[in-house]
Amino acid sequence: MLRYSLHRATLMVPTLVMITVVTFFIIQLPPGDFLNTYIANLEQQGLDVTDAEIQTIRQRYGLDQPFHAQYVKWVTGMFRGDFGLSFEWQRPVRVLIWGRLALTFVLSSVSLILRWLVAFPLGIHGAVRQYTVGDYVATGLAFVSASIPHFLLALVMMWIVFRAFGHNITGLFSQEFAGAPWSVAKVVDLLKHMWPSVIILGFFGSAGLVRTMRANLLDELHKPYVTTARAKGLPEYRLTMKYPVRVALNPFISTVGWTLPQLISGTTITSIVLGLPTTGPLLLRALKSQDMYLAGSFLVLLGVLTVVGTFISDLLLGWIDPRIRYS
Amino acid sequence: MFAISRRQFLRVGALGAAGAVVVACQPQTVVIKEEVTKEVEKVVEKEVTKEVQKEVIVEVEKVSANQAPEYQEMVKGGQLPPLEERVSLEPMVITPYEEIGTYGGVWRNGYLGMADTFQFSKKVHYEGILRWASDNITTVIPCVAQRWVVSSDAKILTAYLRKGMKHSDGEPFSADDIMFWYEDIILNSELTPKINARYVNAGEPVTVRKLDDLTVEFSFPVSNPLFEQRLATHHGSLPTTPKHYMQQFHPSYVDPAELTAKAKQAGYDSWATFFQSMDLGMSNWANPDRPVLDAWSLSVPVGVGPQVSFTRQPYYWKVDTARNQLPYLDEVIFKLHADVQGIVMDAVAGELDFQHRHIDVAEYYPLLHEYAEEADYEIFFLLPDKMNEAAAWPNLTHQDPVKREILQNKDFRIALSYAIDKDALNTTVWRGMAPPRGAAPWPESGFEHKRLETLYQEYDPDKANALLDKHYPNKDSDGYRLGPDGQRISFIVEITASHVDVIDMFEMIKVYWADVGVEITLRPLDRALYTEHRNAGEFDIIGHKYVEKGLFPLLGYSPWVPTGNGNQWYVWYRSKGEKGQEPPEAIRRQYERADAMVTETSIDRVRATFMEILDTAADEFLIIPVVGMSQPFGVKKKAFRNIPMEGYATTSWPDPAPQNPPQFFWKEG
Repeated sequence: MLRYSLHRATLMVPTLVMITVVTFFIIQLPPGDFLNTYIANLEQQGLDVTDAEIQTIRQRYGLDQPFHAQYVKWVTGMFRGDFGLSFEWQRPVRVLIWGRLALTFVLSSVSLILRWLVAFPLGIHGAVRQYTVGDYVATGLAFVSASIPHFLLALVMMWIVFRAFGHNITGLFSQEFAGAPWSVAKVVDLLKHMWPSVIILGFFGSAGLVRTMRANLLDELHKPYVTTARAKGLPEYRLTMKYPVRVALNPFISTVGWTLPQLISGTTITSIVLGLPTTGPLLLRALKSQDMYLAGSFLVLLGVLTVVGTFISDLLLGWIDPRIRYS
Repeated sequence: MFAISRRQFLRVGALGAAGAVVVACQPQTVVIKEEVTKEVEKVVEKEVTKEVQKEVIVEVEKVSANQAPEYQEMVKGGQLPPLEERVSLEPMVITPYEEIGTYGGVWRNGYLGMADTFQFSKKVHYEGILRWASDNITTVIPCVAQRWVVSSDAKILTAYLRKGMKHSDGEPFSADDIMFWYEDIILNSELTPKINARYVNAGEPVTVRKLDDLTVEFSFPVSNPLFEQRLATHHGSLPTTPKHYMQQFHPSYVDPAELTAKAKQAGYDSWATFFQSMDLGMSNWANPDRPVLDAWSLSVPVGVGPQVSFTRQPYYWKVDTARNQLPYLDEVIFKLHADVQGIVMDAVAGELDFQHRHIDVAEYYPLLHEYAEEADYEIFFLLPDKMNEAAAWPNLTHQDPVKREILQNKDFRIALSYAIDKDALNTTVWRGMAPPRGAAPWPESGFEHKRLETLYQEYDPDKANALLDKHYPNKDSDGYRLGPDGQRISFIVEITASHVDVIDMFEMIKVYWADVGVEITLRPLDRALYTEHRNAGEFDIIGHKYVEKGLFPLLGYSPWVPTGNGNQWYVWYRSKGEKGQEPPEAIRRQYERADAMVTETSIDRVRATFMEILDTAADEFLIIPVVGMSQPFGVKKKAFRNIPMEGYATTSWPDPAPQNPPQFFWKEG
C-alpha cells in the first residue's frame, strides 16, 4: 500500500508540470492578447488608445517577451505564492481567487451532499424494486432532469420565483448584506438566496448518479454471492447495504477525484445565469478576455485539484477494494 | 451654442458667483436670484474683482446650512469638524432639477465586470476642472475651478480654484494636486507613455503652471480652441490627483528601492502598476483609501464581492440652493452581473433605480415596458452619440487594384446604398426603433446637416441598377455583374462574431445586393482578429457596429474624414507622400481642413471649417450607413427624483454625471 501510494505520488509531479505548460500554451493560442480586449473595450466606450500607450502597457505586463520567458516568470512566481497580476482587474490574482473560493466551496459542497442524499436512496430503490411504480417515477424524473440544461432550469426557476414572490433571486446576498461583514443575519440571508441554486445544482444534478447507482447495483444483485448470503438467511436490508451496495460504490469512488475541480468550476453557466459571485464566471470571463495569469492560475488550480482528487480516489479505492492494489 | 466666447464664459462664472451670493442673502426666494444674477453680471463683465469674491465668502460663513443626519451627530460628538469648515468657502451651488431633496437612500445600478467600470466614472467620478452643463452638450460650466479665463489667442486657459476646498479625507485641495498630476503623472513616461489626446494639440502637449495656491495655468504653443470642451469631457482619469496621499507611491517622493519592494510585496511587478492600482479611475477601483473630490467615495472595491459600493463623504464641496450639503443619497452601489439578463431581471423586479446602460437594447423594450407599472418605474429616452446601428465601410485603399477601383467608384457605393431596404431592416431587426438615417451629426450638436441626413436613404433598386449598368453592365450566368477584369464582382464582408444584430442585417443585405448583381460573402470573426484586420486595412468591406460621434463630431471625425481602418490615403498624407497611396484632391483637402481646424483661434471658425468637412463628406459618400440608430432608453424608479427624463447617452458628456447625481434623491410617499 505504501509503495503504491508513493508511486502514485511521484507520478503527480511530471503531470503537474505538463499541466502548467499546456495551460500556458493554450491560453496564448488565440490570436492577439489581453490588450486587444482592453483596446476594444475602451473603443466601445468611445475612448481612444494610442500605439505608444499600447506598447508601454505591453512592456509593463511583459507581453512583449517570448513565450518561454513569460512562462518561467509565471511558474517561478507561483512557488512563492505569487500568481501574477490580473490584467483586467488590476489586482493580484490570489486576492481575486481567494475572495470567491470560500463561497464557491460552500455552495458546491452543499449541492454535492444534497446530490448524494437524493441519488443513493433513489438509485438503490430503483435497483432493489426494479420495474415498480417507484422505479418508473424515479427513472422518469432522472431522465427529464438530466436532459434539461441547468441554466435553463435556473432561468425558469428565476421566473417562477419572481412571478410567485415578486423578488429576484439572482446573487447570493441581498443588497444590504452584500457589503456587510459576516453576521447571523447575513448567514440567514445567504441561506435564503442559496436554496434555488442548491436545488438546481443538487437535486437536478443527481439524475446521472441515480442511473449509475441503479445500474451498478443491478449488476451486483444477481451475482451468486448475493444469493448465497440470502440463502444463509441474512436480513434483506443488511444484505443489500453490506455487500452489493458497497461494490456498486466503486465507480463513484474512482470518480470522486473529479468532484474536487467541479467544486470550483462545475457550475459556471448556472452561476452566470443566477449571478452568483462564485469562481466559475470569473474563470470564463478571464478566458474570454485573455487575462492570462488569472485564467492560467485558475486552470492550474483545477489541474492540481484533479490530480490530487485522482490521487485520493486511488487511495480510497485501494483501501475499500483490496483487489485494486495488486493489479 | 457649441462653445463659449470670453464674454459668455464670464457670464457662466458669474452665475456660479451669483448662486453663492443668492444663497448668502436669501436662499428661499427665486426672484432675488434673478436680480442678483443681473447685478453680478454687470460687475463681472467689467472684470471679476477680488472684492466681490471676498464679499461672497464673508456672507457664506454666516449662513448655517444643513447636512446629512449622521454628520450632525458626528459634529455634535466632536468626531467631525462643523460643516462650515468642511465645505469649501466658495462651494458650488447646484440648483435641484425639481425640488430640494431629503437625505438618505441608495442608488442601485448593475455592472458587467471590469470592462464596464467606466460607468463608475460616469456616475460618481466626474469632478474635473470644468464640466458640462446639465441640460445640453455644448455649454461648459465651472466645476473644481470656480471660474476660468481663456486668452484671446486661445493658447492659455487660467483656472481659479475654490478656496477652502477639501479632499474626502479632510486634507485641503490646491494647485499642488493639479501640479502633481501634471509633473508626476503626465510627464512621467512610465505612468504616461503617451499623453492623452485631450492634453495635446497639433502634436504639442500642454504645459501647466502654478500661479499661486489657487490658480493654475494651462498653456499650448498653438491655439487650442477646443480645450475647454476637452477639459469638460471625461477620459477616466482626472487632473485632480490627491498629492498628499498618492506621493507615497511615487519614486520622486519616496525611496525607489523601498517602493519597488512594497509593490512586489503587494503583488505588483513594478511601482508604476502599483501606483495605478492605488489610484482611481479607468479600470482601477481597488483602493478605498484613496481620497476623492467626489460626492461618494469608494467603500467596497472591485473584485472582492458581489457589488461595488460608494458611500457619502463628509467633505463634499457642493450645496443645493438652500445651503444643504450634497449629496442627498447615502450610497451608490453597482451589483456585479455576469450577464445582461441579470440586469434586465433586476429592472423588472424593481431593483434597478436609474440606468440605461446594457438594458437599452431594442429586444428588451417590450419586457421592460410590460413591467413598468408593476415594478414602479418609468422609461426614459436618451439621444445617443451614435448615428447608425451599423454601416458598411468599404476598403477605399484596397491592396487589390481591381477591388480598389470598384470600391473607389462613388456610383458603386451609392448604388449599394439605394439597393438596401432600410425600412425592412428596421422592422425585422430593430422592431421599428431604428428608422433610416444617414451618418449626419444630430442637430443638438450644433452641426445639423440636412443633406447628409437623407443622403441616398431611399430604397430604390431601379436607381441602383441604373448606376451599376453605367459601369458594370455585363453579368455572368448567375446574374452577378462582372468587374473591369471580367471576373464576378464579389466581396467578403467581415463582421465581429458577437455582433449578432449586425450579422442579421447583413444576411438581409446580402439578398438585396444580390438582387442588383453584387455578391457578398459574410465572414464573422473573433473580435481580436476583426480588429487586427480592420486596423491593418486587410479587408474588402467591414460591417461595423455603430457610427459614432453624432453629438461630439469635433472630438472624433472618422465617419467624415477617412483616417482609420488602415486607410492608405491617410498614411500618405501623414508621411508626406513617402508611404501609402496618394489621395484624391477632395480627400487631401479634408485632411488639411481637419488639421487646420484644431489650431483656429475661435470656435466659430472651427465650426465653419467643420461644416465644409461635412459638405465634402456628403459629396464623397465614403461609408454606407445601413440603418439609423435605435434610441437608447432606461428605467427610472418613479420615486427616484430630480432626474430629467431626457438626456444624452455618450462618453464625452459622461451621462448621467452632468445631470448632477449628488442632487438625486428618494421622495417619500
